[in-house]
Amino acid sequence: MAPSLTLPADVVTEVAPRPASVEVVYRQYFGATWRVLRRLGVSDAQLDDAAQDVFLVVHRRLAEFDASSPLRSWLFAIAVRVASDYRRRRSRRRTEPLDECIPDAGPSPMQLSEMQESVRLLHELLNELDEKKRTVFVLAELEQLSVPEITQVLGVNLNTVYSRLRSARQQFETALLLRRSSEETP
Amino acid sequence: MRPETEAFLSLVRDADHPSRADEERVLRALTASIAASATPGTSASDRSAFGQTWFAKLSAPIGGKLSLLAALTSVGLGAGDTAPARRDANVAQLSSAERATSAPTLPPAGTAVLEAPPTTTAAAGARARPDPQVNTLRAELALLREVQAALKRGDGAAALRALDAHRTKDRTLQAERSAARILALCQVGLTAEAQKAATEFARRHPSSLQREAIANSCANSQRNMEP
Repeated sequence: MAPSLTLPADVVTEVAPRPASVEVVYRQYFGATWRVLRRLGVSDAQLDDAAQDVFLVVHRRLAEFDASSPLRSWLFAIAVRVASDYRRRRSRRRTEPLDECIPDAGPSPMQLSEMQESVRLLHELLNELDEKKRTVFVLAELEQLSVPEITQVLGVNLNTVYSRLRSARQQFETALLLRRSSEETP
Repeated sequence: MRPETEAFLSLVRDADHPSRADEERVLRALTASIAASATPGTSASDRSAFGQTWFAKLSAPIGGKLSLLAALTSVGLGAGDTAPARRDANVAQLSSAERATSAPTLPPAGTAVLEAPPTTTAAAGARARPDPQVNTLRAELALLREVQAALKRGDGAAALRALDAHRTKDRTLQAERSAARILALCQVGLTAEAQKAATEFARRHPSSLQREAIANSCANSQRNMEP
């Protein structure tokens, strides 16, 4: 019989156990992954698929994961790539308005709770950032990754991360102030 | 940042959580997707051995040392009682257009994933540049399934044709592709070529899980000398 690429069971069981299984990764990081994907601009309609893609990659590449590296950084690197792909796909098709990636918070702002309205505002403000700034901002300010962690996730150098973050903060803050001032203006 | 901005971020930072129902729904779909990508023809008894608790079964005996092709070829995961995978999760069902243009690519940790040229967006009006010609996860998986199917039926020539027709600069699944090529070379009788490729494989992928498969093939010159 021709040799197969399938590993014999005894070979598989001889290798040292890894610190994380797919189940552990999923249970531990599903929430963060979902949140990051959403904040990186994956629409609600595609969120299930995108989250599934992230963990399919985890499933298929767990054996290659360097266990000495932070799992969260690896997972976020996957999520960033998947989110980028979904955003690119959406813009390529041009059938889905950008507003659709803003969470559906209800029929009328007046009917929303303060939290729902704040989340909706957050996504609107994030939509105003370009992809690179948005990614750094989400990872730093919302997921609270350190800059060195972000360099690991994105594979870019420290200065690039700092530069994008500084610019993203300024832009986000300006946009927030404008929204707030327009809300206060009768 | 200003205190107002900090306060706003504090307010929203922990919002946006998925519900438990979201978590379970995606898990069911993920289970079904993985099952769908497993080798067709896995026996029913093998499937039932995994059953509902496939994640636990998967993580325990395999211990996470699950290579892509091992997953594709040896993991028979039951999905009879799970939600169906989403339509495009099964790589075999993807249209060629989808495979070529829209599937997510594998991001090696540390890869400059955001350094790819931006594409045009209607909203941002970014400068249009062509998408980089990278092979996507699904395209790679589809290829490897095709190659594996050819190898299983002993059609090494078809496996080689498929590999040659799907050239890529993406090195994410290079080890699996190289291993498949070596086995295909063995099947068509090109032992010297296979051994040469195996030497190169050992140099490039010293810790690959595919080494065992190669060691059991014609590419292992010592094996060939055994009586």
